[in-house]
Amino acid sequence: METTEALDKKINKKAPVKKVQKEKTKLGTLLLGVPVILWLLMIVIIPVILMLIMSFKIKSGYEITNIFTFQNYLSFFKNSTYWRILLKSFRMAFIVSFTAIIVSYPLAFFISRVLKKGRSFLFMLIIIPLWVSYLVRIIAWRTILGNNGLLNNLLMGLHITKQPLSIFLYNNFSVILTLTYIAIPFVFIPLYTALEKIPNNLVEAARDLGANDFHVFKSIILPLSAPGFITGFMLSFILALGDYIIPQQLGGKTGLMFGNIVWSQFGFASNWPLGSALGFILFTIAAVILAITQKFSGEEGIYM
Amino acid sequence: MSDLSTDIAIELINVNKNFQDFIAVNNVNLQIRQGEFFSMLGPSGCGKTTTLRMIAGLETPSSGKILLEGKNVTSIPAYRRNVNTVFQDYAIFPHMTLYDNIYFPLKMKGLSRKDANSKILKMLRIVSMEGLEKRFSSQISGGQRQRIALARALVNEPKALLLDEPLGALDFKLRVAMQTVLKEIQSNVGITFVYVTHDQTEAITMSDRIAVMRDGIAHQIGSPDEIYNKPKTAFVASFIGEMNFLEGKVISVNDKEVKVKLDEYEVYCERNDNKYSSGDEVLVCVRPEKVLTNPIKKQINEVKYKLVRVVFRGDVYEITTKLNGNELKSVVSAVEWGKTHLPGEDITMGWDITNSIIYPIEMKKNIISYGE
Repeated sequence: METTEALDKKINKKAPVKKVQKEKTKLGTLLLGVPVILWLLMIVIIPVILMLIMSFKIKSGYEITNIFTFQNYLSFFKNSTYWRILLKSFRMAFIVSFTAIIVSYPLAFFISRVLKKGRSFLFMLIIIPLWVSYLVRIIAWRTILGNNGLLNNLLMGLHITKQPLSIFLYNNFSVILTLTYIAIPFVFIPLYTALEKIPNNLVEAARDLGANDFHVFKSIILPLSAPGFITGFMLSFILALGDYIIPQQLGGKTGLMFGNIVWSQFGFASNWPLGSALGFILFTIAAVILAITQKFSGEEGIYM
Repeated sequence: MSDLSTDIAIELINVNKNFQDFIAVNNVNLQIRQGEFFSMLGPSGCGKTTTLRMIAGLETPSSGKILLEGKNVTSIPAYRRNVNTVFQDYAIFPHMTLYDNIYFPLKMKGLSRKDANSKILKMLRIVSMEGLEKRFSSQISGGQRQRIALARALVNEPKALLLDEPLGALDFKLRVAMQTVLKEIQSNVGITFVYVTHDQTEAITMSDRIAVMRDGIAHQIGSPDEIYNKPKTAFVASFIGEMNFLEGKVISVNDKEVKVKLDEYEVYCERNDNKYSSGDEVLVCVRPEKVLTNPIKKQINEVKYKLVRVVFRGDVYEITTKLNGNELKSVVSAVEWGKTHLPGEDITMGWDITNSIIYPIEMKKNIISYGE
């Protein structure tokens, strides 16, 4: 017969053994992570570091000299064109994200919480544009908004206007419109997921406790879909902030964005160090936005 | 006592609910009295939860009427009914503190936080959750969530509290403890409780009255005593507690009793609402704990069956005997059972006419047996 004390000792002896096992599995998972880390190093971390190094060099004549300097960063702050366009890009990215959410939210709400049948079909319909080439979708908008485009033909056909209007294309409006269109699936998916995840019994409980439809939405649905909001907003914001193809194709002279400036340094102006510095500034901003949203959506853990 | 209608808290009149082709609730009539602990008991899919949801207003009946304190509320939405529900998985709002969860129904009524404070604190005291109000639901245990759900549903002082298997997710010991807590809270607040469960012990120990349901039909509505001792159908008899079902043939019928031939023996059963005439095949039922083995005094119903097996259950022995196709079980206390019998021996089994229940043979198909 063993006394309870002896049993206790036995149990206590066993406890540390378990711990060692845990540490072992940790090492195992670390080893499993090696390919992923290598991958990350190759396609993300090393290119960024190379870009960072490049941003401290300077171009003199046709050559890039190996002097370490802050010149490129200083010229960003000195030259008001750069940061004015950056601010404008911010503004546009904000409008794009905001509009994309306003458009996607009712849609996501309807498909995830109101519809009983055909959910996956509608979900697919919204996702399908992602399969079509980015460039094709942009050019498509040019043919819709252009002088001889669908919109103008429609307006003239309905005798609303006599001549084709040129206000639709080659300005901020066309850039924002197209960016919003591109951003919608990226906003829709996280919103849909967040809305679908809300347990129906919470809605029923709220209704049972005296909340009408408006209060159910305001007090339950809206706060519980916040993680989707934040993720969607972030995705679309970063997408819009760095884009240079849409402004190039549809922006004309006035629709220029910060991405175009970065791009032109690598192409037309052929000033790689300055382009790297500007690119790194954009990268840092995007990283900060990501970090902030990560912190917010991290709180999701206490909800679910 | 005031007149009858005001004593009825909830009334269901010919309530039906269909989901497409499926009949969830089939012509249920219920009267739940003011301040009563009323249970709806039945196996899963029997319509008990649907019935509860119709009372709550979360489901609309396909036909029939629901009255709350005499007022027809059939078409009134859930948020305007003065009844509250404790959901099976509690449905505590995860993005609000426990305090805000309890404040929620008061907020919907238009009360400011300041005015609501004393009510919220009082409810927290009633469910013994003081000091935890700043936490979130993910930071408390299942039993505690249960208490918060209860507090949240009671804070508005509803006319009735509806509970949908509230103890189903808890482990056995906590469940027994919460049964007592629920009963105490009910007698403290004096509110009508409508309780849905599939656990017969829970229903029997807690309720004033029980409705036993199956396939959308309310088989019997009565006190736990009536349900247990005078089950109206073979289903009720088999669903609650243990029951012996013996097949026999009616010999004769008078106003009070039915005489049945059980193998070579003659036994008597109390008459009930079903019609019997001589020659009918019937089921004779008796609870194992009402069957005496080797009775000292001569019993009205006595049969000699062969001992098949003896199972020791700690406090009691379970004796199984058999004759032809009929199996008769008896539960005997360890003191009474002398261990003197061996399997194969004949044993006299006896029971009183008041414990002898009779059903038509058609009801055999409604028997729920867990062994098979």
